[in-house]
This record gives sequence, structure tokens and C-alpha cells, in this order.
Amino acid sequence: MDWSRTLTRTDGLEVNELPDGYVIYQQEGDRVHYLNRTAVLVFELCDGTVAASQIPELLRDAYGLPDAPTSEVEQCLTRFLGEGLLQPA
Amino acid sequence: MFERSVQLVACEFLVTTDTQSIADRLDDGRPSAVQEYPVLCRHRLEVRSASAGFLVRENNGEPTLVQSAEDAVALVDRRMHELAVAALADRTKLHAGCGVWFGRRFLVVGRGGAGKTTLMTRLLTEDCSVEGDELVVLRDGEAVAYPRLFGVRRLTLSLVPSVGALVPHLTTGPGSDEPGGYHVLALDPDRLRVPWRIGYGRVDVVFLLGPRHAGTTRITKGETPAVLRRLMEQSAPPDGAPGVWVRDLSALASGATVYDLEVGDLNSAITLIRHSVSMTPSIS
Repeated sequence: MDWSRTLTRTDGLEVNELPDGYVIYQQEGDRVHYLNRTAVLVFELCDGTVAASQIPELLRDAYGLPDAPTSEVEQCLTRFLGEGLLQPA
Repeated sequence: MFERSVQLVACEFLVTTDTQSIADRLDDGRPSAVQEYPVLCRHRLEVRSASAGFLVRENNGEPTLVQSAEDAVALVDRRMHELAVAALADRTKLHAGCGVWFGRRFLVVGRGGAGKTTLMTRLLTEDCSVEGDELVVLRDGEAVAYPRLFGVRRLTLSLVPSVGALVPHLTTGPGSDEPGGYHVLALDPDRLRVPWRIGYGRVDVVFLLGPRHAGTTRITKGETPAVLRRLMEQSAPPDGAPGVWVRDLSALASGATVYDLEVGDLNSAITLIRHSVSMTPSIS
């Protein structure tokens, strides 16, 4: 995981908001993704201005966690990149 | 000349014929539902007797010759439904019964044979406005039932006695469903002296019908990813617009309270549906 990168959402995503998350239709590959609330927060933070390295600390502060959830964020970002939902800004 | 006006959701059809038996057959198959959905298109269908059979003409086009009155009615019926569905090509279609109870619109979603028609037919005998038993058209969280006669199977006849009483000669025999989903009765609620009205609007409650089992009826809150998956399994997207499909189903899941309903017996299922719908805040 290159933590220095800033990431942004890829083109061709249709995002639908639900009370407990997002449902995203991805035109490329004709796929549907469900993001729970935490994944939504990570996804939204990837707006092209926030470095990946900042995200675990932002989540720690948002949820009042004792430690930054670095490995969980890494898993999430890796998944988003692998699925084509995010790309380097 | 005999004239008949038929509305199928957004389409209105004016059918004219010079043959009384054709008009009578059309009346037999026509849903009695009063529909509130605005008419967006109109079509004209004509049936005229000819020396070799009957000529069927659509919107002043070239006529089609058919041999019998039965064939003519079947052709008119088929074209009306084809045109009505074509007018809804940009909408998501969902396998669901639809009703309004305590001022709240609810859907019962499930595959063919899951028990939608049995539930919706039984609800006809409650103080519930049942709008449809099989197909709902969606757009941005708003639903309208497609007006078609309820396709009742033999098992439903025994489970809903007032319906069975309409066709006593059909209630004897095996108590299980006919193989291949054969419907023994096309039921218009009018035959039970129940007014049939089809409105449209936002959905307050969705019941996802689970597999039947011999046991207690259970109802639980639906979890979003599974809810979306089940809605997708029981729906068809608008033509060439899968993104709209996802949007329509997301709007439905987002705006409604969704339950998983596993039916053990019909009476307890009706009780739970009544309770769940009456307790849900209305957004319509």
C-alpha cells in the first residue's frame, strides 16, 4: 500500500445513498457494490485531497477509537483499488 | 358497433368491434380495476368480421386476418399487454404483490410459487385494499401494480374459502400446487364483491417472502446487502439501463421498512403483515 498517494473515485460510478450505506453501480464490468457506513467514510475521504496515510487517523477521531485502524483501512483501500472504485488522483 | 375502453397502467386502449361475442369475451378478461395512474399513451384496436374470419387492425395500420373470435380476442389481448409493457420499458419491474393497508402501501416480493397470490388473495377478505398479486412497476421508489387478474392455483382455493366457493368443482382433487405452476382460476376481485382500485405512490413496507416451511411464521428486519440482492433476483431492469435498475431498487430499500417474512401458516402471516404495516410510519 502506497500511503503517500491521494486517491479519488473512478469515473462511471453511480452512487445511491441508503440509510446504512451506499449501493454503487459500476458501469465498467456491470457490477453492484454495497458499502457499509465505515466503508462509506473511507470512500468519501478519498476525494483527491486527503493522503491515504491520513485516513486511519481521521477514522480514529471520527469513531473515538483508542488506536488508528490502519490495517482495516489498508484492507478497505486495497479492495477499493482492486475493484476499480478508486484510482490514484 | 361495440366499444370498450381498457387501461393498462399508462396506456389506454379503445377497442371497437362489430361482433357481440368478441365484446363479451373482452369483457370477461378485462380487469375491473379502477386505475389512478395517468394515461400517457393511447391506442386503437379494431376487430371486424370478415368472410374468412376476423380482421384485427391496430392504430389504423394494416389488418391481420385471424380465423376465429377466440384468436381475435387473444391477439387483441396480447397486443394490449405488449404495448402496455413497451410503454413501461424505462421502468424496473418487480415480482411482487401490492396493497394499501392503514393508509400505507406495501409490497410482497417473491419468486413464482412463493405464495404471493395466496397472501394477496387472502388479504382481499381483510380490510385491505389489494392492488395486484404478481407484478409491480417501479420508478424512483414509487410503485404501481400492473393490472392483471390474479392467477390462483388450486392450493389457494382451499386456503381462501371465499375464493374456493366461486369454483367448487375445482376444489376437489390434490391439495398441492399443480405442476408447472398451472393456474386454475383467473380471479377478478370483483367476483368477491371487493372493489378493485389501483393507485400509485411511494412504498412504506416491503415483505420479502421466504421459502414456505411447516413451522411458525417468522418476520425479521431485512439487512441491506441481502435485501438488495433479493430485490435484484426478483426484478428486471429497464431496457438498457442497469444503473437505473440499481437506483430504483435502492430508492425502494431506502424509503421502505423491509422485512423478511417466512410463512408458516396463512393466518399468522396475515396477522404479522397487519401488525407490521399498521406500526410503520407512513411516508406516502
